[in-house]
Amino acid sequence: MGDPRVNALMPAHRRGGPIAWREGRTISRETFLSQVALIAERLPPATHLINLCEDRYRFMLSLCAALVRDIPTLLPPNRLDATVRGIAERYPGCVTLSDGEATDPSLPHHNIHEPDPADLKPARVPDLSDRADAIIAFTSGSTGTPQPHAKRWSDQMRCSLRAAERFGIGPETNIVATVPPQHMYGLELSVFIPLATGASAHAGRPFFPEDVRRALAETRRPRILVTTPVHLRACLKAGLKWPEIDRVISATAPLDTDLARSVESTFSTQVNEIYGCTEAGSIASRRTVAGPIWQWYDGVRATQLDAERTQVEADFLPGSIPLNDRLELIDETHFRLLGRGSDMVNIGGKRASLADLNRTLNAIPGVREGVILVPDDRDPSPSRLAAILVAHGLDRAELIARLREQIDPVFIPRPILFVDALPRNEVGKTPHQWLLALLKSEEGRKT
Amino acid sequence: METLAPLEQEVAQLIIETLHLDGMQVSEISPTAPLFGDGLGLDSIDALELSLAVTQTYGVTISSQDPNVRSIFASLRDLCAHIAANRTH
Repeated sequence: MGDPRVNALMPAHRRGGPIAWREGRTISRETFLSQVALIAERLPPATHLINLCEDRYRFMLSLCAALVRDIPTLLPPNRLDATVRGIAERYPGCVTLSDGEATDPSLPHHNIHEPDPADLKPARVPDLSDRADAIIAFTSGSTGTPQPHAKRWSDQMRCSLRAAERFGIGPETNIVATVPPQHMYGLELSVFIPLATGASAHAGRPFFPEDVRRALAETRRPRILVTTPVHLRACLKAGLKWPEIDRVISATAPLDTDLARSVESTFSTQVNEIYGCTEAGSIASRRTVAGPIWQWYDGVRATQLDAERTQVEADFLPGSIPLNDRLELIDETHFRLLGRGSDMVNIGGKRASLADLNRTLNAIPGVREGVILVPDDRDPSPSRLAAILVAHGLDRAELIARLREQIDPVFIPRPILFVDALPRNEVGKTPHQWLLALLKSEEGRKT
Repeated sequence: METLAPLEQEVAQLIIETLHLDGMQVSEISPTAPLFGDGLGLDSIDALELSLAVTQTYGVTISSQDPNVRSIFASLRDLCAHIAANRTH
């Protein structure tokens, strides 16, 4: 592929193509550009904009308007008032953007809606200043304070072109995503890729299986479903009649091989998983049913620093990015994922992988879902681990007895907290600091 | 606590079983208390699981296109009203 204008808002712009779908109708790229220009004009003065739009198309409009006005966009890790307020306090002069009512009246707010067609004027594809902090995505942060990761527009466009090449996405492709656009994975696959390649995205954020079915049916083939293991499991169980899905992409949590196989046979499709993180964005993929070997996106170079640590570089990354996982590099383009590096714990001079301990816990009959974790994140040599679990017909004594059969006693968790369900955020992940908060509140109750 | 209508009892049992709210009794679910957030503390993944159970048990498909999808899950009583009006089995 030639060198596209990656510092343009829409590097692959061609006249007449659609950029989004809503209720079975397309929205043209010309309409989109005119709307962006008008929304950009009407944005209030701000140092930063927090984009909370729920509709994917209005999210895209707001993001692009901010880029045109050269105002960095902040993307909080969740929509909780406390999280948004915490980020707003760190960026004085910021304004929240949403397509609904302001949820927190204490923050300056600007409402985004699609402008009246009568007000629209033709607009060209703008070139951007390409500042290093055009988009700031936040990770939940295991320390409890969301951590900022600044992104440059041209880097995101280059990365999107690599992803598009890997998954055969082009101007004809239509993307339906169940993940929010504020999340790095949803942002890349359902917002950046349409802007970079000319593909179209469904404006909605389908949630229930029937929503997903309808959204797919409202778009034309080739269709790609961008989703998570949780949604795939629900869609399989729903017993609906599905339109053809040309490819399914999954991320945010490991996809079980059996689940991937069922999805491939039920939907007559191919399932790919993406490997990445908020720091680096998406950088590798695999076809889940084909086995445990991942392939880096073209241009990604990985370096193994030691058994625990790997870093990556790429022409779409601002520098070397350390990864949080333990990887086995097979050759220049392939690797195996061994587990999360930060999962290694040292208790009483003994080392264990938290991933291994968690596998053991979750394999005990009666444990529906459980997490073993270090109760205090800042403690480099914790004296004990804690467990939070959902279990049926299994009491504490029985659980400890089963664990003792398989793991060294130093790793037997104390306290063990039995709960009704693990807390989950909107992409189905269980944020580490929520678990820590749960442990703390339980301790508070006892004292 | 208010007594539950027969369908409310049935759906309360379905909620407890589907979402593995072990140790919880049907009588502990208030028909008018919120199911999500502050009430039973259920989250969006539970909503997905519960929608599947309701589809499988009563033949009622839940979709965000339903007017006021949020109010369907507002409380046990609201959910039962939606099921009663739309059930096919």
